[in-house]
Amino acid sequence: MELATDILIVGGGTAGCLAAVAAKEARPDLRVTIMEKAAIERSGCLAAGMNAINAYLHPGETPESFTRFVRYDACGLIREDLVLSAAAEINQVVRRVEAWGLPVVKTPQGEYAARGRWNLKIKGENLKPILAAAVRRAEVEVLERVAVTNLIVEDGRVVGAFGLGVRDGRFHAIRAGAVIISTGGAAGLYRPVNPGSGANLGWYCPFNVGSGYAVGIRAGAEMTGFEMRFIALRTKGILCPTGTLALGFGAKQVNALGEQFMRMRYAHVGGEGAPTCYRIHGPIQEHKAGRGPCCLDTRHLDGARVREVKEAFLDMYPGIVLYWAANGIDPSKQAVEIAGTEPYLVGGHCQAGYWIDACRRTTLPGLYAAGDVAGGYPYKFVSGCWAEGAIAGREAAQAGVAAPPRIDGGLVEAEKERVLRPLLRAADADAPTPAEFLERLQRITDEYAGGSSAFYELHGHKLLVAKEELARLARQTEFVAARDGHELLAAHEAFDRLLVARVMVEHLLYREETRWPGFQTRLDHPERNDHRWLVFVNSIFDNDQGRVRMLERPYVQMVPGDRYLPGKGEN
Amino acid sequence: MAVSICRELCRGCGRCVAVCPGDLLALEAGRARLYKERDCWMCLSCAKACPHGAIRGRLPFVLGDTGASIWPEATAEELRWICMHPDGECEEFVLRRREG
Repeated sequence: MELATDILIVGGGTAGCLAAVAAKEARPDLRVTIMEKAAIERSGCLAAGMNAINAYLHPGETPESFTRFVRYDACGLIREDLVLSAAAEINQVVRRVEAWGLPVVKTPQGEYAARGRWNLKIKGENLKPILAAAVRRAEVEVLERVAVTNLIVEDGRVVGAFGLGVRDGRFHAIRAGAVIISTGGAAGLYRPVNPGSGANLGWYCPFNVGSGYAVGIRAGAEMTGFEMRFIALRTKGILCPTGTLALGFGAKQVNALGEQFMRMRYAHVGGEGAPTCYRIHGPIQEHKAGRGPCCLDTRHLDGARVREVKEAFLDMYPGIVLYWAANGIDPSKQAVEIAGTEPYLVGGHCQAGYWIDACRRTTLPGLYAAGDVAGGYPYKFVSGCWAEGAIAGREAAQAGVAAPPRIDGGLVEAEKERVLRPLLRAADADAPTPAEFLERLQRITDEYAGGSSAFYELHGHKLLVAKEELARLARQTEFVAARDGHELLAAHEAFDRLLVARVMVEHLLYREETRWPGFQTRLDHPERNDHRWLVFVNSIFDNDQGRVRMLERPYVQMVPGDRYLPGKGEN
Repeated sequence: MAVSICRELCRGCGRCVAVCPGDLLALEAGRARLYKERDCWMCLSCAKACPHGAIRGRLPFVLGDTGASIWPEATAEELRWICMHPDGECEEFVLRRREG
């Protein structure tokens, strides 16, 4: 079916909901539509809730001090313009969501209770329904259970998006004056650390499959930072954030010998407060040296405090409380084991995503990006995604471009044929299934592109094998069969992940230094090299040739100070 | 499995089907069914949406012992979580959902 709107927001998650409300506020006369793969009440990263806001500027902090800290955390390389512009809006957007009904934990004096330098505690189990209610109040149209398959590009301008109805199999071509992409990052690029029936119990939302990256890559958008993977340090089994235990409850990281190894071996980069990548690098090195498993030592907590820990986790990962029950784990008597997740690509914790300007415009006219799908600005988290969504929504609305009166029918037919093709092979019993395709992708990346079984470590020789193997897998795309609508979506999700993985491998090959130990450890280039590599590694995909073209963009320092020090704040 | 649905308690209202972020649930003969067990994230959005208490979170066996389960009882203002241990012991937690 065909539909026209003024602003089409693809992905109604953390960033997309704020983009929709901001666009409607800036221009109430415009038609604003969200296209969402699930239902916005419980979609994206916030489906299960959230117990903290981890990017908030407490009194005494400024956008500059925040930017300095983010730069330190990202080992000296960020888009400072993007961080500064979002930081200027973070506090007001948090207050706004609080006004919509989000409970924020306060001191007896009525101030927000700080949990760390940039953190707030929230009771955010219901956070996503609260955002969804604001979207509905703003009279935004919501088209649910429709997954994006491609952008519609005419004469070099993005004029809409194609979508597949995930329940009814209907094909959608939506014309728009502007498109904001906010589909999240990519899980499932690597073999999951939990095997078999636990495979989707990862940290990052497994339904964020990188389609937002893939549609941009196919359309020739410039991408940045795909070599800065995110590997989260999480509790073992059910992969929950360790910040809740470390920042909220004072648990220290220890190795199997009981040593506080971050303090012992990484004091020169900040110890337990080291940049995020070192906090995964440290425990991995302990494992490799035979000093694992590593734990967060929670044995100083009494029964009442353990109850508080459980309450905090119930607001975002209820599974961990069940995991402790099913395994007889009492954190007051036993330290909580921690481990790395499979690697993800995200623009919110790291900086993989669309190359955008301060108005959140991508390199494709008519296309904006916000949230985990947008690059260059790590340490975004929930509040940064809100701020970025609000900027994108406002800018797109103010630009006020009208939707084209029609879409070239040839484009529509070609895309429909591409999307439905795997159904044509449904009767072929020998054809690979989408699940098998994904399994092979994850085997290749795990073995040759630094998955968990390789301690996340990278080497040029192995990356070249990954490149070859992924190109071979790409040639198998045409043989994959889907027997129903669910498998059809799964097939396209697997194809999108493959494309994202191929671009990621090109980025990993290109950056011949180790900028982010743990996230991007190049065994063949183990040092950081600011003389050569203080640049952004970007790429543009040539869809006709099937080749990735690499390019570099200069780093621009806007906030003075040492790029490898966190700066000081009052807290 | 990551969630289990009690066929006796389920009335087939479909609220769980409406919210599942992974589109993993469907109504079958008037009852909800998780037809893609392995794809579940255990966000428990379905269990929170169920007005009949028919859905419980259960850990896949690969991650822990059988017999434990967790489920929420939701009202607009609060969420009461019950976590049952394999020995039948239950822990209860009451969490605020909304400001005011």
